[in-house]
Amino acid sequence: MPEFLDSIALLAWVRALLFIGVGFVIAKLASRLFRKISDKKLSTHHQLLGSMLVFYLLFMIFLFSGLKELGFSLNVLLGAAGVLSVAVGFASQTSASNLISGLFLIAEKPFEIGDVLKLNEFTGEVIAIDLLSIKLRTFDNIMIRVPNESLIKTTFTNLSRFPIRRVDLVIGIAYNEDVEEARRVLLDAVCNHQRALEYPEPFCIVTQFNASSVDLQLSVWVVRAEIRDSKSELLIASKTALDDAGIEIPFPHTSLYVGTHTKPFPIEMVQTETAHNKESVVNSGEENG
Amino acid sequence: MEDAIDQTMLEPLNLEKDIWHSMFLGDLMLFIQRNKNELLIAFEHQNKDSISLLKPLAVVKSLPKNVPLQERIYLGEEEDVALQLQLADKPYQVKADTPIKIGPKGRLVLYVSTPLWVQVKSLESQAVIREYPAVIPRLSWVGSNTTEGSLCYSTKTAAPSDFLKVNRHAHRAVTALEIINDSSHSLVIERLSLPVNILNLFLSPKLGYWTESVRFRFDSSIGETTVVTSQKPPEEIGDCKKVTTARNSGKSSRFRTAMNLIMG
Repeated sequence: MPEFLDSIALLAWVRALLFIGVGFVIAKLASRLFRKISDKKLSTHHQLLGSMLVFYLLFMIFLFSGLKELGFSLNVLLGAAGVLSVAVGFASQTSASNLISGLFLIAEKPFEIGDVLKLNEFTGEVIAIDLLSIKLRTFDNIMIRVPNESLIKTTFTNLSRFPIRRVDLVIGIAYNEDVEEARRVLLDAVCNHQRALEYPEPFCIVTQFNASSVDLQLSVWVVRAEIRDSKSELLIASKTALDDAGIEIPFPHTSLYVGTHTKPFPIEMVQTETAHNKESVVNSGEENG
Repeated sequence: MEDAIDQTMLEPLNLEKDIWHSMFLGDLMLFIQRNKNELLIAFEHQNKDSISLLKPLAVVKSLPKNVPLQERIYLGEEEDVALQLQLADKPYQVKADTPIKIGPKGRLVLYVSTPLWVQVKSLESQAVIREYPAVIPRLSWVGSNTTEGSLCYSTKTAAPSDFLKVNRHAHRAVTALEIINDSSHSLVIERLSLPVNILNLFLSPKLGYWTESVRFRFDSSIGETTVVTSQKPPEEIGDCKKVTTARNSGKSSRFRTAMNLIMG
């Protein structure tokens, strides 16, 4: 056993453990108190960060006091920590990068817990913002961990930032239909729809002469939280309105023209194989009978 | 004028057990039944183009076949419920039939009506158990752009400036809205957000439901609007009693806001 441990009285050990134990409890309580006080004043994101900060700050103070009781010199500890931090720094470059990226994200605040993010091929709700990563829950209930460093480098879309969103529906109508009439029918259908916001007003524009249809873009503003249902209901309303007005929504067409340079395609009526087989069976039956 | 449904006091409904009761207001058809501590509620909104309904709470033989049971609420055995009328939970965006132009230093009083809501409340705790709008409201957005602003309801109103021309309906409350243009330029108003959620509801025996008057003072030089609510409806309606306290009664009756948050 090292010499310095012999000199430490049992009482000092008890005092040190008491410092650390009580410190842990106090730090926990203070952290909870912080969350309670800041409940309506700060975002969930900042509450989380603040409470962690309060906890670690208080706990470190008590931990160092406990160590001091045991006779550890803080100067030596801090010196050792300096050397250690260089070694740890080299070993944990990625973690440090994530940590610092996390701090930048907190300062920039591009999203909060509960927001829906679209990140590469994933779309999901932010369920946790931690020091090294954030956790997303996709709509099919899969958890995705995204390192903070990736978030700093990557472009992502926050789908929950604003309370209202625009739904763009692309609807094709047949070339022989009256475009102005179709626009009027579509706008009437959505202007009276319960999901559509009255203001900003919906609009409908022609976007493309497509292969089989004239494409119209019907844009309607809706409440963000209802976007999925709104999109579905507005599409149904549009289809119903066009059907009622007798306006055709075409399926892809392929037109085949036969020019004068070629002879007409020869068309010949042939017996189907099944009919031919049946005939054969009947004939053979008659022969057997 | 149509008669108003007098749900002015929070009184127990004293519903007969196992029997459906109904109340119609505006487009709302509300059915309610009490079985011991169970409260059954069904409701339906008629087509908005139909004539407004008005029928105080009364016994009905049975629940109509086309109205499904929607709510099954369990209360304390002794807990009584009451029905109360209230103003909407969000501001109403009022669209005048034609844009209104107010000259420099001009003043105008418009009479604007907004639909009421029916609240089912616990008599003891005064907590709202459920609430239903007399007319299904359309949502809209008021703000300078699509990122700054708030959701509100929308209603079209004739908004007459003559008290005698005010159309009164049992399912709507009228607000006298005074608009003062404090700037040296003309002010064109197409839409206006009326914060009914901070207004109290009053009942005049003769003239139906009213709210206290509201004054909007626009100052385009600083881009601000001062909104002041008075303590009572306009003098013209005579005696009236307060039916319901504002939803956001904590909010000051005088506040300043950006013009574009009021006018869109």
